[in-house]
Amino acid sequence: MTNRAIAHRRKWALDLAGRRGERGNENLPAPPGYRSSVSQVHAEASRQGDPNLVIKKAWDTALSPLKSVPMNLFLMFMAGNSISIFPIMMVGMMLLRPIKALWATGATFRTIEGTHSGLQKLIYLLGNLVNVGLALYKCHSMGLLPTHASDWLAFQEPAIQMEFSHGGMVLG
Amino acid sequence: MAARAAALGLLLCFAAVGLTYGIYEDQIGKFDWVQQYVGVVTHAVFDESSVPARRIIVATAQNVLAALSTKNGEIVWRHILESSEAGKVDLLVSEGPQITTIAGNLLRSWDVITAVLVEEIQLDHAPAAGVLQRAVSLSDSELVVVEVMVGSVALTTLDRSSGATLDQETLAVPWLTPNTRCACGDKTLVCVEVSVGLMFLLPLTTANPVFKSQPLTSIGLQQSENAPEVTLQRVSGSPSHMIIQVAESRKLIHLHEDELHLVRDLSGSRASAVTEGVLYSVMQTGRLVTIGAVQLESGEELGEQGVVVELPLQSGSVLSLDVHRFERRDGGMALRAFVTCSDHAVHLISSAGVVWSREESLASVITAEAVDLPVDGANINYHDKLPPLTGLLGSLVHRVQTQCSQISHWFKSVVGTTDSFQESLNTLKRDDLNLRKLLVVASGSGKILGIDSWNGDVVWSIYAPLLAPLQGNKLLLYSQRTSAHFPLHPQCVVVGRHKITGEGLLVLFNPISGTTIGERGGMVALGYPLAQAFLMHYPDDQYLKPLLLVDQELLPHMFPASGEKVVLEHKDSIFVHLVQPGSSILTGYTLRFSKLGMLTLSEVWTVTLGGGPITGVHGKLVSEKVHSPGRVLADRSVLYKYVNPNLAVVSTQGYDHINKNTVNLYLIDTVTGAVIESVSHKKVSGPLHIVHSENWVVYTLFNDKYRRFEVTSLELFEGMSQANATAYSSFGGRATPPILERQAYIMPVGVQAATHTTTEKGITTKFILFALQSGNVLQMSKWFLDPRRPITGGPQEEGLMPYIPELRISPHDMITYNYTLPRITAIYTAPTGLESACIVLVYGLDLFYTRMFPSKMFDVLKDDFDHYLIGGALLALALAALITRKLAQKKALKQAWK
Repeated sequence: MTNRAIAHRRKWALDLAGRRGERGNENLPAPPGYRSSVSQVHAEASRQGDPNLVIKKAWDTALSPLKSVPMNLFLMFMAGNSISIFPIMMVGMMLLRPIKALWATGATFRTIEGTHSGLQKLIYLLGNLVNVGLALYKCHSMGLLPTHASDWLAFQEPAIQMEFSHGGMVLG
Repeated sequence: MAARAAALGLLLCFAAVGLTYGIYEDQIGKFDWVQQYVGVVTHAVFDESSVPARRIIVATAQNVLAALSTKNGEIVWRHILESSEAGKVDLLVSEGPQITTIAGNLLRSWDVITAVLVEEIQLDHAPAAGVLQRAVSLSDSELVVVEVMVGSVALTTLDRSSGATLDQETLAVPWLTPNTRCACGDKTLVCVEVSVGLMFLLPLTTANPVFKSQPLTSIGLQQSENAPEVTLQRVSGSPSHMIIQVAESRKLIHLHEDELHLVRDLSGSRASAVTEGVLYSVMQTGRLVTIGAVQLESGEELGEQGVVVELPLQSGSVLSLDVHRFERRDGGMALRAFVTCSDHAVHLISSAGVVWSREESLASVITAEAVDLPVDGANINYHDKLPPLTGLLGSLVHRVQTQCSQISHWFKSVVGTTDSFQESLNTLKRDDLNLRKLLVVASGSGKILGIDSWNGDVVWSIYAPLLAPLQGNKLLLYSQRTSAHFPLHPQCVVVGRHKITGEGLLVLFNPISGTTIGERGGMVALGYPLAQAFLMHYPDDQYLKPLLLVDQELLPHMFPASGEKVVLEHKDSIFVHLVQPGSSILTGYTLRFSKLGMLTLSEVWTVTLGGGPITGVHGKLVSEKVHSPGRVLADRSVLYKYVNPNLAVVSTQGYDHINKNTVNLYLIDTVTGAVIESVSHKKVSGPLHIVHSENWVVYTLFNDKYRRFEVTSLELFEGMSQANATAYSSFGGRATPPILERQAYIMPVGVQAATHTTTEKGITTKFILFALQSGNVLQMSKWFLDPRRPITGGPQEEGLMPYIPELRISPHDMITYNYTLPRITAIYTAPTGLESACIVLVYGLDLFYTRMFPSKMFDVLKDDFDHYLIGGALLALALAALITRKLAQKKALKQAWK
């Protein structure tokens, strides 16, 4: 961090002492105890230790929706099938969160790169879909989904009359 | 569980109790009006207890005794006597402060001022069978009831104070035929038989009465074999004078010492009355009525007492006259003439003109129809000619023109007038929600009237003197074209019978302006006796729905003739079913084999129904709309309704093998003739009132066994699936018959008429309107009569109450609140532009109109809805959101600079 800061400052420092052409850091001797290769080595080391961590982190992210399934199941069981404000809020959250997460899949996985990223994305998607499915199942068991014929009854057009019959008692 | 179900049931009961629809006291008369009538006046006397007479006492053909104010014609009091023959007033006499009536076997005296029944004497007299005419002669101590029958005359002398029979005698009279005219005057019965050229007199006072004959030639009339129209009338005001009219010649005769003397030739006059030795006679030319006065003793014309007045528009011819003469304060003589006309209207005439008129034809309304008023501005172009059909461009130009004129009219109305409400009251135009309608009614007198539903005013009237009701006291009123097809005129038609020939008669008119359409006053004589008439479903190119008329030979005719093309185009889908009166055979016909110029009805099926003759065929309303095709059950599945538009309820009434009354109802598909269901009731009697709508039938009966009125409800369902959801055809039905659900309920009161509410789209809950025998109109939700109300305490399905046989009647459910409407014949309901609203016209002796909101006003914001507060709050919130957004942006910018 400090090195970068120094480098950064150096880039903008105005060197009035030297002349044109003589300017440049190559000409200057390094300060005592400074080895230019160290930072590179450090970076190298950190890069070598990273992949495991990243993969682990990535799998964590990918599996998080699936991990929340048992918890959701428990919550669903506890909430019951009655329609009141808290179960509705809960079901709403359960439905909205995975959908939001699905939209934001790209953003979540942007930082994660690696050989498994495709698979992770897939698992992440699947997990979220499982959550959506669970929420839908809950909606269904609460009777909030228009899955019955009775729900569409009001939209049914009246039947067209094919025959017309007239008559009654003879009035003569 | 059982306790829970019971608790739920109780809760639902309370919820049902909460479903009352009464109105508040300050709403009385706001949306409803009532008009009281007395009926066709048959007897009238001026109340002699005060001078000048303040009241006219009338007795009517509807068995009503009433007093009309001479000042304004309002009903001072009214007594509804017994219906049928028992209440028919035979005699009405004024005796000082009382009036005496004889109706049936009751002699009653009434106080003129207080309308109190002073005295009632039961006469010891049972009416004989086959009485052609009944006449009563009343004196101070006794009365004689004369019953004229074919071939005999029965005389009963009764004691006036006790009603006991003093003497009874039946005379064999061989010359007496149904064409003989008899009248009773001055203790003598006078009969006229033109075919033998004789008049017969029978003194009613002697112990052994014998008919004395006198030739017609003695009073200057001729014998006639070809049965001319003969009338024999008493002259009001004088018991010893009578009028005989044979064809056109009319004679005033005087009865003196058992002989008839010719007094005057009154040919040309309409009616006469005698008062204080002066004879008044009415001459009529069109609307102009001339009352001439003649001194009877001297024969001198009293020109100064004559009156010439003009009757209101569309008046009929004068039928009777009653005259009251009194001395004015300044010493001169004044005259009040009470005139009844053939259109059932009554007028009180003074020397200055018509004092008041009463439109009593509205007491015998047969059919009604609500007509939409034209939208504002549509009126102005009615007089323009029809646009020549010049294709697309021409019609476009015309449309733009009419719409421009409508816009300019609207603009004028916005800018010009300040009191638009007052103006809208005076001009007939549609209101925003189409709640104001023009009620077109056709009455038994041949008068067709247009009534403004806003206030009940008669806007126009058409009197067709030749129009008479068809058999069964029916007139058919159809709207052939509505006012929606601007600039074409709306058109309505009344189908009836020609009074003289008995053949079919149509009256065509514009229901908005009240003008007749076509020549001869809009009347079209059909030239054949009519069997039935129906309005076709399809309009012709002028948007006019043609009328299919079936004559007695079962030949179809079209009116207008251009309708034939329309019918031929759809001939495969038009079916006709007919029942001859008194038969138990229903026959179905098709128009399939018709050719151009030759329409034919071909018989396709017959159904012979058991249980006596067919008494009625009740189809559904043609314009009915069923919004919901099914019913949602508790498990959210759908029970589909059996909505067959061609289903008819056919009722038969007869006797079973042990001679008990039975009523059978058959639900018949009138296209195929298939009997879908049948219901039989034993030991029940009518009157049967059937309400048939959507997939249900509700009918009321009297149960002879338990002696109570019952309401039965039937409902038909197709099942859990639908054969064809998009179209209904009687031929393409499913194999399984529909499911019939039924239940019966006990009605605490008898019913005079019943109908259901109709709304524009059929979304609103249906209510059933029962006109009770008590004279109220009860509204009852169909929900209470649901045949699926569970009997056992099972699961509470579909929010239905558990079955309780007794129906609760709450006074809040009377749409007539404290009015009592006597003799209700029918209830008419019509939809409005507002889905939740339905207009109701109850007719009979009185007219009652109101609006109904069966599902309350679910599509209208409440009165206390605060538009300003809510609008203001919304605006303020939007403003606040805008301002805070700006502020937040500023703050964020400031923070960024830090």
